[in-house]
Amino acid sequence: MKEKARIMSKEDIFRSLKRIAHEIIEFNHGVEGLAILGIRRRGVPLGKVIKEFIDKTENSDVPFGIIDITLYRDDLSTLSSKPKVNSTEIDFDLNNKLVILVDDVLYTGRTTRAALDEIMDYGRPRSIQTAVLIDRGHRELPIMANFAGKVIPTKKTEVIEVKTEETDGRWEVLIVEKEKK
Amino acid sequence: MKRYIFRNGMVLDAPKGFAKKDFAVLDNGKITFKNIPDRGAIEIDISGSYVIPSLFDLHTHIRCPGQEYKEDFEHVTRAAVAGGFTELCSMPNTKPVADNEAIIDYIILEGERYGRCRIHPFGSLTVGLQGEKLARMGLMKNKGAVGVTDDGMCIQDTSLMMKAMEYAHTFGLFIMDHAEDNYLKKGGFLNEGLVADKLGLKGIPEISETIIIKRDIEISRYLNIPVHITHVSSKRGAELIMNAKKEGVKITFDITPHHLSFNEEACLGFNTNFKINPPLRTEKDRKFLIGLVREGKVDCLATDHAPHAKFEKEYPFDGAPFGVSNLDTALSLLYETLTIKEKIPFEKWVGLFGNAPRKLLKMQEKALKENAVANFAVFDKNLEWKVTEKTLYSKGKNTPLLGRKLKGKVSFTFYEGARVYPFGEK
Amino acid sequence: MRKHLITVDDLSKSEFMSILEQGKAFKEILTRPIKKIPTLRGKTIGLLFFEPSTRTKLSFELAAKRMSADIVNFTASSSSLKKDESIKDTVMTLDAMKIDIYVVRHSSPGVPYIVADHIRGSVINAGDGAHSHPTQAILDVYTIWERFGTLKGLNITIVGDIKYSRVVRSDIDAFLKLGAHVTICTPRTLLPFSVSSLGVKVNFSVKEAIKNADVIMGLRMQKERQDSGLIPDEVEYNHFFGLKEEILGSLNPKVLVMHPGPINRGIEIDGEVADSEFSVINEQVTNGLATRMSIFYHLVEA
Repeated sequence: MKEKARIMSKEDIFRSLKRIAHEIIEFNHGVEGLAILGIRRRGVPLGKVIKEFIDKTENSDVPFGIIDITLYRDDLSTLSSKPKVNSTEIDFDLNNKLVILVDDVLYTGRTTRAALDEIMDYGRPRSIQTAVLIDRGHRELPIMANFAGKVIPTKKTEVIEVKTEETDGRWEVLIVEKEKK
Repeated sequence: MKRYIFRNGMVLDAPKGFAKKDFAVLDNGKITFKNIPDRGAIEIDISGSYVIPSLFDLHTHIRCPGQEYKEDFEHVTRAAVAGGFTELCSMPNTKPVADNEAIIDYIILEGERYGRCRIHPFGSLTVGLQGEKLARMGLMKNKGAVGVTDDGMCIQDTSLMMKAMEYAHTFGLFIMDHAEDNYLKKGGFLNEGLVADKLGLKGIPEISETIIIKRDIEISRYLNIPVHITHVSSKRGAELIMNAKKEGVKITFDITPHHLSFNEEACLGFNTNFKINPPLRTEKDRKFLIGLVREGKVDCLATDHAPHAKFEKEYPFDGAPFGVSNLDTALSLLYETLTIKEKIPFEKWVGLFGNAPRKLLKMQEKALKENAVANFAVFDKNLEWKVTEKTLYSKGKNTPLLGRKLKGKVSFTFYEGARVYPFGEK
Repeated sequence: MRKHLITVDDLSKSEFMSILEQGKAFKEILTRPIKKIPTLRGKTIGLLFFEPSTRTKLSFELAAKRMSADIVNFTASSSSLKKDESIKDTVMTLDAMKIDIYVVRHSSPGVPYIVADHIRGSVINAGDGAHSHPTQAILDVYTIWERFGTLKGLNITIVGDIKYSRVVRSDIDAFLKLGAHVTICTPRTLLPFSVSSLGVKVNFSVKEAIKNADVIMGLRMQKERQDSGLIPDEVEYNHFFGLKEEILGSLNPKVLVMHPGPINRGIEIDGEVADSEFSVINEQVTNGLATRMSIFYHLVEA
């Protein structure tokens, strides 16, 4: 992997997440019925930051859960080694909720598809909206980002790497080039 | 018959050992060292081969009549001569049981029909091997039975065993016992110990053998009748016999190639070809038995050739029958175990598979001397061969050696003056 | 690469730990309103039960269904439950139907190896005679590990019919592998011959054997033991080797009482003990389901 560009700093990331938080409140006319689900791994710290911004603005405590989509992936049979399964942690009722599904990057849409299926096994939310830090295009499924921090056109040979304090010890977003084999 | 000249072989001249000599087998089937013809004979260079009196097996399950799907006369006689044997003692557990003179007669005549080797039948001690009523041992002896045994169905009733031995002794029959206490053995599949526990299979305790050896020693001493214990598997069992011999008890015993070559750990992969009765014991037992061979304390060797159909050995370990097919491989396996690995010279033990059992049965010994009828085998100690279903002549392919390479193989066998192995035109 | 689970030894310590750790995620699935995940969609699991079993079969079947696998059942009728039936022929027929994972139970030790030799998929041993029962060991370990966080240094006492128990063999292997100390308590006639080389302590007194125990595991007394003359009768057995109500007073509050089931109340364990606050016997059943799902996930081939 070769680093090509640093496209977001910590300040950029927080500015985007703050705006997303405000858009979520605006779009849903407040926080009534709202719930946030972070997709493992990097959707979790990003989701937590969005929750904090929302709670601060609205003086609320929006329910937060973690979703692990490994067992719902459609590519298990093409992977050379089995991905580690972590627990999904949702300790509130999803029925009738306005669920905000948070992830770092929206790419093919397959992760979102898996998450949607998993959420449906938990209950019947009133709606599901997607919030991502980066939308990089190349969708393979009819899925969109309701809230996006940045829309960045990319080549398929490129990889967007979102780093967070919790998972990587720092906040930043990089574009790297896959090494040619 | 063709004439043969064998050159550069190491010929056994017991008890002196091997000596390099040329010899010929003449039209009359006799051996000569002095009058080797200068033409009209097939000349074979057998450098690196040993020439030994043909082998004798005291313990063969020929399975026929009655279980021809496991083994038959055609295959067992082929396996025998391919392994260097020209005499086999058949065990009585045929169907019907060899407990009467008609079956003995049938086995001898049927054996002769193939003209490859001689089958010396053992009769049973009791009718149907049932351990209840004495069999017609006298009439069986008249038809040619050489010994009696309830092999595999050891008589549990001590009083009956004593009567059977006394009756057999009346006719001078050789008495052989497979020492096993049925109550102690019941439901067991392999040696009782770590391996059996690990595999979750009920064990056969060593004491099931030793308790009967001890009983037989006492009977033999009490009645002053010789008894032979076949396939001794344990150190303790052999020690009991050694001690009894010192006290003058007329007891003899044999050991099999597999008990000398393998231990219980061979069973760890559930390979049913290692399922044998008596079972493979511990390494300590095996080493002790080898020590006895080294010290010349074993009376003879015996194969306990026990062929089974392939599908029978494909049953789970607890359902598969006991036994290993042995005639084809016995000599090669022992050469590997005793001579290559244990460095016991060939001439020190090979007689245990030849004249030693002949002597026990008071039969004429075979020798490689001037004018003797040709009864010998040529063992090429450098010939490597792979044991496969195809290279085995026995119908029973149940040997743990399948797929293994062995060094050393019989290349010629002569029986009563004629070449019987390799097969083909004589 | 295809992988089998025939004995506990087929798993490295890290694979073992991975099954336990990820078992948590599967246990969570069992608490959801819709207890089903699509992970094994399109995979086929064959349940080959040559020996009757209710609990283990149910657990495997439910684990497979929770993961959306298709299931085919092969249950040998009692008439063909002979030891000499041709496993090879049966299994080759099934293999022609392209099954991904075979769950095998048989009364003869070693049968899972015969199955593995004649198929293309993976084999999970669901109990072969007195040889091995690795999934039971995994669920037992999971139950202890979930409570204590580790097995290292724990004192585990196994009380009961040990001689021909596949559960004990597998449990002892697993407990020792993960660093626990094991004590077994049973009359000498029910001890394995090679007990001295197993690496466990033996104590003939239940009271002493459980004194410092963190885990007490009872084992089912198999009724045929009396017929084979290994113990006199159930009354005497319960008196000396049963987990009796009296022990409850002396236990420290963190002790787990376990039993692989089904239990004989009043023989190897009194009802008061099986139903006490120490008992995790029902938890073991739930954990069996979760760990078997985790095992399927680890074994299924891409």
